[in-house]
Amino acid sequence: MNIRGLSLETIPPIFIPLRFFLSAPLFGILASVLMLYSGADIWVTRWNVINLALTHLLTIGFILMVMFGALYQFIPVMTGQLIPGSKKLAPSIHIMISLGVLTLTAGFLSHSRIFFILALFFLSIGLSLFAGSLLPLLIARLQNQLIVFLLRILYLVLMVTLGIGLYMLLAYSAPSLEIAFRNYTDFHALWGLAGWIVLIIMAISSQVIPMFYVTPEFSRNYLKMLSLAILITLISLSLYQGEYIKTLDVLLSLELFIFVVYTLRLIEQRKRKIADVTIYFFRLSLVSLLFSIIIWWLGKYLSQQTFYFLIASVLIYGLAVSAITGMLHKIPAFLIFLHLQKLSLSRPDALSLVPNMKQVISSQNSWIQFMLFLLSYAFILVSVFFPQLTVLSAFFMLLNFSWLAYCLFQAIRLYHKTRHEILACPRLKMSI
Amino acid sequence: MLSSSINAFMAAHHKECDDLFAQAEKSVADGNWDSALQQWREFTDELENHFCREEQILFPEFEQATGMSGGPTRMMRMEHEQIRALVNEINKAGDSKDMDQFLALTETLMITMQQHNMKEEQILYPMTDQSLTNVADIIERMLQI
Repeated sequence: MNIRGLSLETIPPIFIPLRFFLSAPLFGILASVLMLYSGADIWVTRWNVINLALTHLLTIGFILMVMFGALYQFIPVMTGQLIPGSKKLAPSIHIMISLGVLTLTAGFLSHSRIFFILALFFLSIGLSLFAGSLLPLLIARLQNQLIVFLLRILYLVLMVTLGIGLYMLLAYSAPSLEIAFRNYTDFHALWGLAGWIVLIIMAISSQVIPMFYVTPEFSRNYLKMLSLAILITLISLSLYQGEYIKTLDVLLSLELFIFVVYTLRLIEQRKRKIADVTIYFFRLSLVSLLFSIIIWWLGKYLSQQTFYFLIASVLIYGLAVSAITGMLHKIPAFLIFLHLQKLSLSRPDALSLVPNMKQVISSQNSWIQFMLFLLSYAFILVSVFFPQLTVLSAFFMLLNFSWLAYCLFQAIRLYHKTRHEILACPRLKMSI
Repeated sequence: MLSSSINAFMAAHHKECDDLFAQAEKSVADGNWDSALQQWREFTDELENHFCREEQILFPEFEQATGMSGGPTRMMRMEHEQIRALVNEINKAGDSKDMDQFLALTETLMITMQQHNMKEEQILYPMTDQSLTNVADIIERMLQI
């Protein structure tokens, strides 16, 4: 480790991570509107274009978007190095991903090639820029930290998922190439859902749960082996189609099951026992992973469509969107506090103006979020079996994402207002 | 038993502080102010002790060994001031037994501390372990504080 290259002063400007965090609920709102518009038709076939649009609005527009923002914020804290070029590149990457997911949605809905070509253009540039700027950090000789190990595996799995996705997008954009893209859909979904989404939750849990709730640390060796085992199982499932495929399924289920039980036990052992909404989001997320394993094994008793819809809803909405929503009630509020407090340290009169995290987003608003999430999640699952309830579940989903957007945007308004007030206070001549 | 590295020794002290913090916070949430304030004082004493170990012994040693006086340690000292400012606010909430305010501020303190600890454990302490030759002696001196 070259200590001269490391710095503790590398907190990125607040709007680098926040631009990603703020956009995420807007794509959630768009997904809800699409579902509201489509109604029960959405559950007819998984090839339904609205279904494909909705899935990608949530996975790229919500989950990937927040993941990028979080990496911009936490990589410097964890490694002492900014993601290279972050100040210049982050706004462009953000715009490219946003335009990419919008044109992809337009492409699915209109089936117009021009939108697919545009989506291919925006997404390949945005994703390559991000992947390219992260790569030097991930291959550098960093300290042997658990999170770096998990990030490397996560990166690999994400690249495979996105690679297959972009390849399919190429097929949509250029039908003359006659690429048999449907063969790849299952692999894209397998790597995206059982790989990327699961590993994101694993990476967040391993960092956040011990820190925020004062639990015993995750065993480093266990999580390293588990993430490697998941990667190897995914590769095997993709390359091998023989008679032992069920053994691989059992293996993957066991790996995930042990992770859920292990993490829930850690949460139970937490020393910080105060009621906190994010811990409920985490538990819901883990229970959803458990639920997805049950659905996987009961799949043969369900129709194929029901099986796909249930497992996708549980993994995307239940496992990922839940934990991420919980984090979005903490991290932006913390960043706003942190940046405002830093600004006020050289202005003694301004210290009392800095809002604490609960003044940025109140506990009450966070509990409302949890209730809305729970309601929308329950209705989504029920409407897989009772399609007549789809409109109602879309309505609750819309409420859930709108509430998240409201909480985050009023937080930003408070940030601007307070920043203005702090800057109006006289500055000490000697700064700290 | 003495730890063999600054990182192990200081990270263990972070955990001790976390435990004391969690106890005090729980007592406040239960409305048990008498023990809460006692536990809160135990936590803030330990926290201040931790800062002193760093500001009076570890950081100067590191600065001397590496010649890096304006960099990482300056940043960590500034974050100590941020944390002290928050602790002051919490003390006031404790004096007036304002539970909502106390818990809103401890939540903020918790995340601020954890981000600070993470930087120290992931970056600064490994740097000190790499650049200091008299680790055992430094740990011994920090224990005297």
